[in-house]
Amino acid sequence: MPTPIRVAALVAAAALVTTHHAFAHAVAGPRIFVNTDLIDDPGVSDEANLPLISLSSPDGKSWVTDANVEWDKTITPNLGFAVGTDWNFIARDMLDGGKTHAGFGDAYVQLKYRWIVLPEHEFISSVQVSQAFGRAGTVGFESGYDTTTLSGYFGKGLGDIPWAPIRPFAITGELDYNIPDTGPMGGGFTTSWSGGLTLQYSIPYLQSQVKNVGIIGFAANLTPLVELAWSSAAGSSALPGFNTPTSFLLGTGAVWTGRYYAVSAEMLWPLNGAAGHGLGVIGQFHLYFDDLMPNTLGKPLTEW
Amino acid sequence: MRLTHLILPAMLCAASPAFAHAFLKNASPPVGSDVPVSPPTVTIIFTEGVEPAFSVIEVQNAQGQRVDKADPHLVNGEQTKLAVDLPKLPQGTYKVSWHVTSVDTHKTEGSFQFTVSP
Repeated sequence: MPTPIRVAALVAAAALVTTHHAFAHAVAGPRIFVNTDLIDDPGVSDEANLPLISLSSPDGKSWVTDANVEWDKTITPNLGFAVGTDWNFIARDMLDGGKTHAGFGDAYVQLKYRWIVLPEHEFISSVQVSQAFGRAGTVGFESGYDTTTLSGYFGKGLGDIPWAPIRPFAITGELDYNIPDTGPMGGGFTTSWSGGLTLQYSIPYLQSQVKNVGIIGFAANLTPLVELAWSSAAGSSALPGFNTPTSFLLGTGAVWTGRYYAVSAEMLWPLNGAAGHGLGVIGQFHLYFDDLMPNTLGKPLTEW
Repeated sequence: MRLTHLILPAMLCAASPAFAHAFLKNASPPVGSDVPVSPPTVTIIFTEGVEPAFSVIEVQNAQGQRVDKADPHLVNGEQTKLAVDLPKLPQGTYKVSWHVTSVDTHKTEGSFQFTVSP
């Protein structure tokens, strides 16, 4: 029987990979900010991750699979909410005789507001408040305490720069402030920062806005990208072992964007021990409800 | 788990035709191209059908003056092909800007350049 604290620690370490649940494409003028895997994109939309899945080794011995399922729904064109949860599978837990464990992690809800879009500058920004419910999952896999997170997002396409080679690039970013509750389990934890940056090169943008270089088929819909995710403590805990470790995680891969869905795949490169040991992988299957069901599930509840 | 049980049947029930955002699939003259003679039209092929009454293609010269004939129309009635006629253009670089509404009312936009260089 695994100890709940040990399993929760493994899951928490693996969650560094998927703390920032991915959304989908956000549009600013001709720019589409694709759904990314390590940080959220800056848009509000009707979409779903089915699922966002990662495989990583937090301690160099055990392998943790994290499958995130999330549904995003617009309330108005600029305001949306999301609900989601993670299912975790721990293989070869070497500190528990090589056994496997599986269970649900924290459930969460999010409310996101897109406060500005500048189409001519391919700029978009949103703010979000999230609530993770740390007692809503499987004992041993849930964190055991609730967390409120305040987040800011931006996306900037470089299409307004008058130098053609750089115009297909875009940068997105996220910054979070995480506030654990002060209950029996969360009381020892301090607030923390997390976030990340992505650098994207859109082949669809290259061929439709800059120069048609003749790329066809599968490759014509690819957006290669690099993501850097980071987290660190915002203060220090009086209790040993309760400090959020500083971690840096790099992701390299690509997103394929289709009419109704997108598929992504990235290699994960832990840049320090707190981010894991050895290479990992992450990817997602992402549905666009606004295109699949534009008159029902895929449109805002109100146009207000 | 419960979520996928809710969503997948809903998708299967959505038997009505689904449409998506209209993005530029191809253009004539091609995006970023040099052409030796003035093209008679600018034609854009979109990934989805567009509503011509709510769609615009505008061509400007290097001075920002509009030079097209302001007559956006479908080509052979095909809803994915929108064109605008041009007068004979002198040598120079031209910017094509498009704003379209797809048949499911999604709005998209974009722009590109081509150069007439005899």
